[in-house]
Parts: sequence; C-alpha cells; structure tokens
Amino acid sequence: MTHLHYDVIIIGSGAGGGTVASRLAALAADGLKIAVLEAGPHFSKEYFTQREIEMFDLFESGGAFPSSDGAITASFGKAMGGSTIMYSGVTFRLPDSVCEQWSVEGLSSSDLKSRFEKLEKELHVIEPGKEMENDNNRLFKEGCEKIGISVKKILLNIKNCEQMGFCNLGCAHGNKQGTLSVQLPAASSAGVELIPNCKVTDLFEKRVRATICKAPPGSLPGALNEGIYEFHAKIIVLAGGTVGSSALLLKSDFKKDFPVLGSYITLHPAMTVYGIYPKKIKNYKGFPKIYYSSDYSNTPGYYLETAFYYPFITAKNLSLWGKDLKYAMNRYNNLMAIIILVHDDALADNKITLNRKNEPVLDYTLSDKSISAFCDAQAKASKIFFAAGCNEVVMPAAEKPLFSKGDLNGREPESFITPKTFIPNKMPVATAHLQGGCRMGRDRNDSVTDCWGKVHGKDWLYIADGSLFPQSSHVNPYLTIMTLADRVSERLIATKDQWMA
Amino acid sequence: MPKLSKIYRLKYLKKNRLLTFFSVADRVIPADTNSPGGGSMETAAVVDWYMKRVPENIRKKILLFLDVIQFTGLFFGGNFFSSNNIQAQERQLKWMENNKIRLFRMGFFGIKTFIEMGYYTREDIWSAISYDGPVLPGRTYSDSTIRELCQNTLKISE
Repeated sequence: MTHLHYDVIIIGSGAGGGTVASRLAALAADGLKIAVLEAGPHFSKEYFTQREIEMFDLFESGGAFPSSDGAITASFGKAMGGSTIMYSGVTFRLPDSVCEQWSVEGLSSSDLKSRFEKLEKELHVIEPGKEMENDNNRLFKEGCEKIGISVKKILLNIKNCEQMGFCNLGCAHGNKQGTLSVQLPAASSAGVELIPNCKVTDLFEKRVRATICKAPPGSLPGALNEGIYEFHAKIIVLAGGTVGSSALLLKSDFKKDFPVLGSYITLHPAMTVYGIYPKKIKNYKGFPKIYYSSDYSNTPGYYLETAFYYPFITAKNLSLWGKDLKYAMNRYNNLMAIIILVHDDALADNKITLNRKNEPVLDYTLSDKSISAFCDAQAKASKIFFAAGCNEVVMPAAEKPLFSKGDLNGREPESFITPKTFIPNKMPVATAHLQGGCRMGRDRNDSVTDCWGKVHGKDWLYIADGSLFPQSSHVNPYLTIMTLADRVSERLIATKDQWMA
Repeated sequence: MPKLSKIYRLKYLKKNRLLTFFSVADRVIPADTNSPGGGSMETAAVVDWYMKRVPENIRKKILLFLDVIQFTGLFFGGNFFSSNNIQAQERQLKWMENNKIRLFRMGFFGIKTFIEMGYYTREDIWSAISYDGPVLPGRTYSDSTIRELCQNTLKISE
C-alpha cells in the first residue's frame, strides 16, 4: 500500500467537490497540497459521442441505479465532473420559502443570495433568448398560457451553446458550464491534483483508503498507478453525493454516532409525459429546457418543466408496449414532452443503507402524497398538450395510457388519471436529484453536519454535496449544492491556520 | 449487402433464452409496415453486449425472469411462452405487468426496458422513426463492437 500525504483531499468532483476544489485553488497556489479523488474516469469532451448506449459510461449503474423495491431508478454521474456532466445546466436558486422550511440555524437566504449572484456570474448563467426556443418549448408555453397556467423562463449555465440537444449525454463541445469545463480546470491549473478512477473504500480519522483502477479506454490517464493507496490529509471533504457520501460514512461506522446518517432522502421523483402533435416538430433539436411552471409547487407539490430525450429513454418513459409503443415511437418527431418533478417529503424511512457486500442501497418508497401529485400533474400535462394542439397524449397513470380527447368522454383528465391506476414498478419513475442523507442541523441527534458542512465533533471532516439538504430543494439542485460548497470552502479558508497547525 | 466478416457471439442470450427473448421482444415491439419487430438477432446482440456491463446480480435476475416467462406460458396457452400464440403471449405479459406481486411487475419492466434499449439504439431503427442521430457522427467510441452492432455491420451468432 502506498501512503500519500496531502493538506486537503476532496472526495468527488461534481457540483460540490468541483466547487470546493476551485475555491481552494488559491491555497494550492500558495503551496498547500490538495487533491480531488474521483471514483469515475476522467473523460474529455471529445469522448461524448451523443449516442445513448455508449454514454451509459458516464453514469453510475448505466444511469439506472435502482431503489431497493425497483420502483425508481436513480441517475447520477460517475466521472470527473460528477452529475454536472449530464445535467442540462438548469439553474435555480433555492427558493427563500424552502430555505425557511429547512430551518437550519446559521443558514439564511440572505447569505445564500450573495453566493448565488457570485456563482451565476462565474458560471455564465443566462436567460435563454428567443432563438433558443424550439417547438417543444414554444408549444409548452402556448399550451400553458391558453389554460391559464403561468410559465417562467429557466436560467441556464451555458456559453456559446450550439444547441445540438445532447446535453444529457455530455456536452460534446464543453459549452455547458459544469465543473468539468469551469471549476476543475481552474483548480488543476492552480495545482490541485485531479485523481480519477480512485474509489475510496474506507474513511478513518484524517485518512482514507482507496483503490485506483486502470483508466478505461478513451479516458484520460491519472498521474497515479493502479493499486491501493492511503491518502492522509489534515482536512477531508466528502462530495460523493447522497449515495456516495452516505455510504462511505455508513461503511466507516459513523452510524453509531449519527443516528440520522443515511436517512431523510428526497429525490424529486420524476416522470416524463408526452403529447402527440399533428405536425413534425423534432424536439430533440435545439435546447431541451427553456420553460417551467411552478403553479402547483405548493399544492399538490410539483414543478412542470420542458424536456426531451433520445429514442431509447423516450420509449422507456412512454411506458407503453405492443402496438401502442410502436404507434407513439413512429411519431417520435411529433412528440412534445414535459417532465414532472414532485416535491417529496423528507422521511426517516427513505434512506441509504448498505447490503451484505457493503454496497449502497437506496431504500425509498413513493408516498401516497407523491403518487397523488404525479396523477394531478399528468392530468394538468394532458390539458397543456391538448391546449397546445396535440391530438393524443401518453400518460402512464391513466386508465388508458394513450388517449385522445374523445376517449375522455367529457370527463376531466383528473378523473381519468388517479392513484388507483398508478401502479408502482409499472410506472417509469426516475430521479436525477438525490438529496439528503448527511443533513445539516443543530447536533448529532438530528443531523450529521453543522450549517457549514462540518461533521459534528470532527474538525477534520466536511461534507459539500447534495447529501447536506435536510429536505427537498424543490428545484434542480446543482446551484444550491455549489452554494453550500462555497460555504464549506469559506469556512476552510477562514480556519486554515487552525487546521494547518 | 456488404459481406460481414467479423462475428459477435452471444454470451448470455442463448438457446431457449434467445427464443424466449425473441418472442417477448416481438410482443413488446411488434413488427409493422414501418419497421421490423424487436425479436431479432440485431436487438438481442445489443442487449447481450450491454448485459456484460450490468452488475452480475441484475443480469442474473433478467436472465432468470426470461425463464420465468417461458415456463409461466404453460398457464396461458398450454405451451412454453415462445410456442404460445400471440394472443396468449399478450395476455400473459399484461398479467405480469399489472400483477399484484411486485416481482412480476419488476421483471416485466426490466425485460421491457432492455428490449427497448436493444431496439431503439439500432441505427436502422433510427431511420424508421426519422431520428437523425448524433450531430457529430464521426466521433469514435472506445469499444467499437457496440457501434458495429448498432450499425448492423457485425455478423451475429449464438
């Protein structure tokens, strides 16, 4: 085993880890030894081939990490850049009302506001112009407005976007301003070491054990050879996300000191639903996400956003088979799409655990409230599609999933799409927004870290990722994760003399 | 048609399982005038290639569920699934999809998803649904086999 000594190691390179790395770059420039350990490979943008089956490489479990009951699949990155490689750059600030609900002492919306502003500038967050509005987005807006649903623009962190439409398979030109394009190169130039293919298996006081694997073909090799290493550091920052950070702490026996460790997971359960428009609209061209509606955010609790996906994922989302699937997929270029993101409650029973092989398991059950929200959202989405001019819609939870207005026989969609016909494990429910597991809070009975991401009672251990969220963020989380990581970094810089001593 | 010299040999979908796969895939994605059905060597080969990459426990469950489908066919049409008529096969799959027992629903969802992946990542199917594919089609991938399978330029055998 090789022993290596650092001042700071950061485990994970996504929105949280990448941000900490860039914020601490100044320390690296001053001579501190800092490294980012990433379990996945380091792919350059040239690796992104825009083909679904090939780009499963970017994801943990090919993008389908299943919940233990199989009813939900979670999609998150496993590569340098984490999930910022395959997100769409959708940029939301944590709503003030949600920050209040979180009720974390020492974390205020006014503190977050200045950080949001700073990050938005650094990440080139823009309001997309009219030229970025493809047919799916235009029709969503028109449909919503016709039936009195308000629509807002989604802000995006992109620069010189060529609107190729393959954001979720990695940006082939690196124009999406995720950590692979922005923070990690900046950190690396300042002297922060990026160590890919480095899976941390055990955490001890001020050291971790990790296995470095061979770089897969097509990826950039790291500086270290294959083998088992122990990385010693004065400060360890966990940024492996809800699954990664929770699982590492669970494996390292932290549960006995932190009873809520791994618990209170939320994940914005999501379903994508479709309308069939009478003319070809080719929604995979152009930028997939421009508009959203938050009209139903308080009750029943969901957002509607525009979306579009490639053929396989579309077929999966349609939740049809047989002639109906063929019928809908033969009209692939006529499909409109809306993604439903449900605000789920943080419940203690929804948690990350370990199986007998010490591998992470996502124990999550869709609540009745979430199921009701999905049904209501599908009813509203069908109204939007019909108002936009679609002849038929595909709503997986409907009595008849592929239906036209005529099939409703004068009924409202709300009575056609009910929890009675929402059958878990039949519905294609997915998530890309895992949150919680190492929640912030007052003390170790109700949380794992304080409001600065420092693990209670462990001055050498910080967390900087979505696992800090005490409840759902209600919105796409990357910017909030970066903001919390910014706070972690600020605290580390402010206390540097103490921990360096 | 160019002569295909390289061969992809199926590793997981073989013999009876391959027969079951063909039958299930043809029910999930039936042939129509626009495009072929899902039950073909081309679809099976893409699925087979991907199976090597999924965790062993998931692969085993998927393969086992194919056996479950084949044997459960006896209760729906008197024969193994692959020998039953189309109506019996559809009745059985609907029964599994909506079953009160979660394992049947999970199994069907899993198999269906693999079939959709195997079928809709094929480039000949892209043209059938008028999907243009990548904007940068010339980019190479580290494993040429899957590209060749999706482009139907490999000979496939059991």
